[in-house]
Parts: sequence; structure tokens; C-alpha cells
Amino acid sequence: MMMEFFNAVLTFNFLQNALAAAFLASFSCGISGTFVHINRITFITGGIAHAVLGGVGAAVFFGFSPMAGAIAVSIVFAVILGLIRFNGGQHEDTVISALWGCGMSAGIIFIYFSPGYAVNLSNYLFGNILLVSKGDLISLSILAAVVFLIMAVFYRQFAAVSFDEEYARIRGLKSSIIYIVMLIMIALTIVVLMKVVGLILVIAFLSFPSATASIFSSKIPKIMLLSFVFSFVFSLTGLGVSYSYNLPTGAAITLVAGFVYIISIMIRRYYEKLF
Amino acid sequence: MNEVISFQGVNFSYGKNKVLEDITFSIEKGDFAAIIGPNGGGKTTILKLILGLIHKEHGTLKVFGQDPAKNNLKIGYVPQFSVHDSSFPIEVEQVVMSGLLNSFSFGPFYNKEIKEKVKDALAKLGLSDRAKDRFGSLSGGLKQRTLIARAIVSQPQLLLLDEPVSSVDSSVEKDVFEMLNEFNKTMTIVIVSHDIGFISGFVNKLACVNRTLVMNDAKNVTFNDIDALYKGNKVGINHKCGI
Ligand SMILES: Nc1ncnc2c1ncn2[C@@H]1O[C@H](COP(=O)(O)OP(=O)(O)OP(=O)(O)O)[C@@H](O)[C@H]1O
Ligand SMILES: [Mg+2]
Repeated sequence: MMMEFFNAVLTFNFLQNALAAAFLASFSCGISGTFVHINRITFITGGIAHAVLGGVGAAVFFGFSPMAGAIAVSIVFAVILGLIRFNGGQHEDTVISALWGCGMSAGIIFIYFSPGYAVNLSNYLFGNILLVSKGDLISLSILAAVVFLIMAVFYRQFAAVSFDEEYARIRGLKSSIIYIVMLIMIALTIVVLMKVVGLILVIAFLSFPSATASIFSSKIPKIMLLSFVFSFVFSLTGLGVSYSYNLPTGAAITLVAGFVYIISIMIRRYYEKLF
Repeated sequence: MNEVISFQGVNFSYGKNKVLEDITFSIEKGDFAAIIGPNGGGKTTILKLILGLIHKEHGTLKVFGQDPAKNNLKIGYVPQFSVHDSSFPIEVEQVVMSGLLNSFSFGPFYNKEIKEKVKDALAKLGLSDRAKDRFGSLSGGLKQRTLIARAIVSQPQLLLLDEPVSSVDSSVEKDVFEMLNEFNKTMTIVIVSHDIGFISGFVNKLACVNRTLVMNDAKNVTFNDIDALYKGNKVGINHKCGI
């Protein structure tokens, strides 16, 4: 079964593109997913991911590049949510939910008024890695490179703010700005993932690999590397399964990731009892 | 310029809750000062004001002759509670390293000089063989020692400690105080503590805070005075904390 898939990869251009996209997505996801995990900000991440549909919809409606729309809106939301985090007080949850819902609804309405409504909508919501073009790959590479660069430059400051925000502030770090930069990095990753698993499944794809990785390691760089490897393996497996059984790719990839995560937790429980 | 910290008529409240009123005291270079007082008396609040984490309402507050937060890199701070997520993937060594971080720390790596300093600080606190342990897996006492190492690794001029020995055992507590005494040769120290027994032998200034503050020269206070005062406070009838 998998052999068949590998033969197909060698033959078909679109599968090669899909693999390249999966690689770039896994790379960005290894980096950003780790920070989502250690900061426990899945909810904020979900908010950005869903609100991005607003930008995509507007771009489709007004005839811009959907990826440009997604990038612009995700950065704007990253900044807004970062500001809310530091000034919003107790209402953070409510505000995120509002942005989440309104952004997504605006996107749906924009796309509703554009030609090809159903196809477009489902491509953004559930991804379509099999439709990735050479041009897309170039944009995805640039995004992945930017994500890596942000991480490399700010690594120590991100880690410090994530671990102990107050102490970082005492050491003169601008916590709120660093936090916003971190959300921007995550937002750009979301745009990459939109192509692969779709906006709805972004949270799952960002959290499973890093959650699985942190079962096996307690060092941030190792977790990043492991979750990169895990996400790539999950994507390959998901892609293979979906190709063989003709299933929606994004959902297949996410299911594989979730399945491995659950198995890993059970294995760890078992070993903890053993020793 | 020998005055390291100076409070003059400083007030602070959280909303309507007046936490500090008309606080006046000064700490000079080389002092080893203790702040004592009942729970909720405002001890932690004083340290946070010094660090510029919160801001005074009235009065004048200078740290190293300037507004708070301007010279925070000269200050080492040991917070009262370790609020850290215990599953956070960070090693003891890395926690201590973060005590040398500043807003120009770009790039993923720490240099050799930093690693040497961290090694020293870990050794001083007897944590050398714990360097690679996950911080969250440590006992409360070892966590406190790690946070002390983080505070002193930058060789600060001023060291603020908020009940740093509340969960170390009493033999270690004595070691910690002796170590602080050693640090006091190069650092001004302000410590919040509940354990007056240990403190009284080391400190030269004693402040008692319970919304208002009374500062004393430690030499003039006998152990019995402090004991009586503290017991009085624990009962919590008297809102004034006079000696
Ligand atoms: N973040 C906060 N928001 C509102 N009120 C606060 C906050 N932090 C402290 N307080 C209040 O300020 C007062 C002083 O608190 P503080 O933490 O300074 O006391 P403390 O002397 O350090 O007590 P403890 O011995 O328990 O540590 C208390 O009444 C407390 O309820
Ligand atoms: Mg306190």
C-alpha cells in the first residue's frame, strides 16, 4: 500500500509538491508549535487561525492573493491579541472568542459572494495539499525561513518570557513586544499550515507534535527538533493513507497525529508504572 | 552616593485597598536589612515598588538615585513564590542563565563567559550536580536555591530576597544566611523573612511593616523585643507595628 504511494510520488509532480509543502509546514510547526505548547496558548492560536479566514475571504472577494490576505490579517490579529493579553485583564477569553467568530464569519460571507464558493471555502478550511503549486512552494519557503529567523534571533528572549514573564521584565526585556513577536511567528506558521491541513485543523496540527515531543524530552531545542520530525512523519503517513484510501488529506494527517499522541501518552503511563 | 534605596512618604494601594501608607526609610550601601511583618503587611509590595513592577502613588522613591526600574540590571531578585509551570521544559542551569539576560540578548546561544558565571553560581549554592535537572522536578527548597543562584549570578550591587528560605530545611537555612553574609561584603542586601531567630544575628537594619513602617537599627533591638513584636503581630489585633 505505502509502496504504491512512494511510486506515485516518484511519478507525480503534484505529490512531490505536496511532500515539499508538508516538509515546510512541519519545519515551521516544530518551531511555533513548541512555543504554543510551553505557553499553553492553543486558544489564542485557534483564534488567530480562524480569524485568518476573514483576510482570505476579503482577498478572494477583492481579487488579491489569498495568501497575502492571510498574512496581513494573521499579523494584525497577532498584534491585537498580544495587546489584549497585556492590557485586557479578565476579559481576554471573551475578546478572543469574539475575534475568532467575527473573523471567520466575515470570511465566510466574503467567500459566499465570490465565484466557486463551496470549493474555495473547503480548501481554506480543510486545506488541499494536493493543489500546492510551485509558486505556493516559494511563498511557503519564504514564510518558513522567516519563522526560523525570528526564532533564532529571539530564542532566549522567547524562552525567558515564556518561563517567567515578570523576571524577564525585571531584566529589562520588553515582555509585551517579545510576546507579540512570538505571536507573529505563530501567525506566519498558521498561514503555512493553512495550505496543508486547513485553518480548522491548524490548532490540532500545532499542538499534537509538540505535545508528543515533550513527552520524550524536557529541553526546548530538542522538543522543536522532535516535533519537526514527528509532524513530517505524521504528514507523510497521512498523505499516504489519504492517497491510498481517497480520504481528505488534512483530516487524515491530523488523525494520524492525534492517534500517535494518544498512544505516546499511554506508553508513557505504562512505563511510569513500570519503574 | 551611599544611598541605595530611599523611600520618602510613599503611598501605595491596590484599588481601594491602602496597602502602604507614608513609608519612609533608606538603605545605604553595604546594609544587610531585614523587612518583617505580618501576612498582608505589604512586604512584597515594597520589593515590587523598588523593582518598578508597580508604581507609587505619592512621595519620592529613588533606587540608586534614580526612578525605580532604571537600574534593575544592578539588582538581583528572589521572588517569594515560585509560580512556574512545573512541566515547563527548562533545566536548572538555564534558569540560572536567565539571570544574565538583557534586552540585547539576541541569538540562540549563551557565550562561554556566561557559562562560567553560571557554573560558579551553581557551585556556590551546592547545585552543581543538579545543573541538568528539570527545574519543575526539584523540591521546593532546591527551587528556592536555584532562584537565589539566578539572582546572584549577575553579581548585583543590590540583592532583594522575599522569604528565600521558607522551604529549605533549617541546616540549609543557616548555610544560606552565612552565604548571604559573605555576599554582603560586595552587595547591599534587603531580605524579607519570617525567621527572626536567624536574621537577628546577621542584619544591621530591621524594618517592620504593617501598612506603615518602622525602621530600626538592629543593634538596639534585642531578641526579646523582636519576639514579642512578632507574636503581637501574629495575633493581628494591632494594626500599628511599633517597636
Ligand atoms: N496583585 C494584587 N492585587 C490586589 N491586591 C493585592 C495584590 N497583591 C497584594 N495585594 C494586597 O496587598 C496587601 C499587601 O500584600 P503583600 O503581598 O505586600 O503582603 P506581604 O507582607 O508580602 O504578605 P506575606 O507575608 O503573606 O507574603 C495585601 O492586603 C494583599 O491582599
Ligand atoms: Mg509577601
